[in-house]
Amino acid sequence: MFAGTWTLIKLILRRDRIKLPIWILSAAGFAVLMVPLLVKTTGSAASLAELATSMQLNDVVKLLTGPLDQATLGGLFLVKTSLYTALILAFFNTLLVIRHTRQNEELGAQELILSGRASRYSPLLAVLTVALVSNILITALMGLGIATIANEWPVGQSWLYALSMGGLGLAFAAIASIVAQLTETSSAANGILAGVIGATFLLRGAGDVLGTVVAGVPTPAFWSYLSPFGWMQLTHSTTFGYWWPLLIPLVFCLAAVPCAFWLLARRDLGAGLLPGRRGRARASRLLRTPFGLTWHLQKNVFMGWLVGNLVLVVVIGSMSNQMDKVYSASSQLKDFIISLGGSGAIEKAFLSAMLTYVAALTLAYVIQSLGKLRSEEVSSHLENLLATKLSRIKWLALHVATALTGGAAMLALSGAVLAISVNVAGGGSADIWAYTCGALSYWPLLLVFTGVYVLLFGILPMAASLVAWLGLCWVVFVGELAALIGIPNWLRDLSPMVHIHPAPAEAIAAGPLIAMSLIGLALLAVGAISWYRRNLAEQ
Amino acid sequence: MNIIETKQLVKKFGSLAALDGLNLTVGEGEVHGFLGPNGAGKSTTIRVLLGLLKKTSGEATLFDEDPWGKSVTLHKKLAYVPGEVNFWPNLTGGEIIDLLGELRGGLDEKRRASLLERFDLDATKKFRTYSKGNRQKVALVAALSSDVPLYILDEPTSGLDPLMENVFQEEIRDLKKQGKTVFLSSHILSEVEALCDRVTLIRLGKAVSEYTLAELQKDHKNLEKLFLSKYEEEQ
Repeated sequence: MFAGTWTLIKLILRRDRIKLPIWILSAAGFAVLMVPLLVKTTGSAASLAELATSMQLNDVVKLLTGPLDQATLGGLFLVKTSLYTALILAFFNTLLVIRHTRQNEELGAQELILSGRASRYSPLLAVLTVALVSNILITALMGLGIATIANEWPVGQSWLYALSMGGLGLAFAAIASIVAQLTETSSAANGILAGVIGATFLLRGAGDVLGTVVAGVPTPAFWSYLSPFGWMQLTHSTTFGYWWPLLIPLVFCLAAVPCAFWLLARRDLGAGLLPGRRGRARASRLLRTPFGLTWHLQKNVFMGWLVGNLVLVVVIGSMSNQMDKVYSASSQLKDFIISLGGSGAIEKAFLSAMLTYVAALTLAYVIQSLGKLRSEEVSSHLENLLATKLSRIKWLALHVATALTGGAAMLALSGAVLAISVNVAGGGSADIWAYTCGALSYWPLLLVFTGVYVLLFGILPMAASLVAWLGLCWVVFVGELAALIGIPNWLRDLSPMVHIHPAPAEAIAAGPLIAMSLIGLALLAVGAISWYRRNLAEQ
Repeated sequence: MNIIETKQLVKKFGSLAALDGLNLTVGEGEVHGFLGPNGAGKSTTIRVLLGLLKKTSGEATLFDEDPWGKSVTLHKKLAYVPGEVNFWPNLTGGEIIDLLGELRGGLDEKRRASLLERFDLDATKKFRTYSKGNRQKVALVAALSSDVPLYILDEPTSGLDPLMENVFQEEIRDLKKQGKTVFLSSHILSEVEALCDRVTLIRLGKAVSEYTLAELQKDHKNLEKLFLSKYEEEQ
């Protein structure tokens, strides 16, 4: 029934000989390296307690990092690392499973493989085996690393932390193995899975925000029980240390993986269970223009990230009501808010901070959208296009303009919808125009990244996407953790985001925005010239 | 025993019938040509025979067994060359040949070496750097270096130059001498004429006629004339 699995496992290891070690080391390494960073920077017990007070009261912290269990280093470690580590594992597992199942079918390679002595179940079993072993390796490295470095909590709890991450990774591998059966293309499958990861992340965020404290233990509302992230949090690994929730992802996998095989047994090779639709017989008038083609290639990426952004701002906007209730229910909280300058001001500061998340998501959209430059080039689609009257520079300009215009539209819409949802569902009053402008003030950030991307595309195309994604990680990392860890100022200033004043809580400062735009345009120009001069990638 | 047999084979994709009652027999030791216009259902037939697609109704057997249920056992006895050869760009031709060989239960090392030489294929190049013809050679070398009773070839030579086409024909004749069965779907009519004992013509998912080469040579001047008359009259 599973003939050929071993051969296919070797094939996966050969194909991913570079990707797998990088993912495994970075997933384990991130959590391990955060331990000394936190220990070094948290300082005294008093500053820890102070930090804890502000965090425990903050719903934004709860939404994005989970509740703080206790004012210990273990509690802080959990809040500051667990969901990030979990996200790395979630993306690692889903991308891995799709790459070796649906993507192979789409490519046509699976056809030739399955014409050999390999059962139709073997490719899925092979990749799940690789996923299992990779997760075990990550767990082992992470557990060993943290247990060695951390003295602040028991060794067993370090292992519990690692095991809860391994369990989460397996749960997402199982989810991916089902989604792989549903769609015809790997990009659709990856899109659905990114949505599932986002939705389950938000579900547990809602669970944490609406949760209560039972006998000193933060207990989430039931939403969290629907999410693998929530299951991971239930272990409270480096604080209270509960072992039983490790069973939840295991039981889930035992139920979900057979479902995937059951679906697999019922479909043709290359087909999905969700039917592929028929298309038009003629190209629309729009599609016949170079811009139309560019938009056709870009629109799914745009729509995907737009939906993601809108879900985020609607959730945040309508939660501002909830926050108000939470604040007014507790006199302690009320004092905290008053100390910060009244309810109106805190709402504005909170919402302005949320716009930085909108900016980060939009930046991710722009990077993925620019990724088309490279994928079109290496897939030889570009060769066909440039053999027509379309010029290189026009082709580049169309994609860049689409990404930047799309980014502007996404920022403006997200800012406006944030304000509208505060007004409609959040029971507050927010100036729609001010939030639209506030969101748009992050546009020069997109321009700088676009400049860097196009420059690299011109001179070192292989590295463009990698550098851009690392840059985005840096921007998010600095925004989230820099203050906490206390990195040197010059390092912090490397992130363009810190130079943008959070509007509308603060006035928009034109100087940095103009400077960033000029830098971006200059990089763009140099990049375009290098692209004009270089060879097209060899097929 | 017929190596391949289908009776009233139907495969539907939604409401569209790609195969609509196909009857086909291929006997042991036969080189059988499979002809038809684009979209007639040739590749669909082959994919059903390989157990990659599930038939909607009718019968399809390979070595008297069900290709969907017994796919793995059956695949030990066959080698397949698809019309479009796609592989991961970062593996070399040699690696792909070995992988496919392993999945077919081993390669004949001598044959592998001699085929690489005869087809003039550099096995150390990455797959992405191969031209269309060379990609097809990778699949051909992989298939022909395994010792199996049945070879299923789906337009295997559409990218080969005339020199390589010659090598291919010699290799197929060699297989025939050894008593192997070859099921060859092709648009290169001279190739079919030169190699096949019998041909089946299909149209709209049905077999329209079946000939031995002798019958064919008696009634029609050549295969191209027959092909054109068959499909032009029905248009």
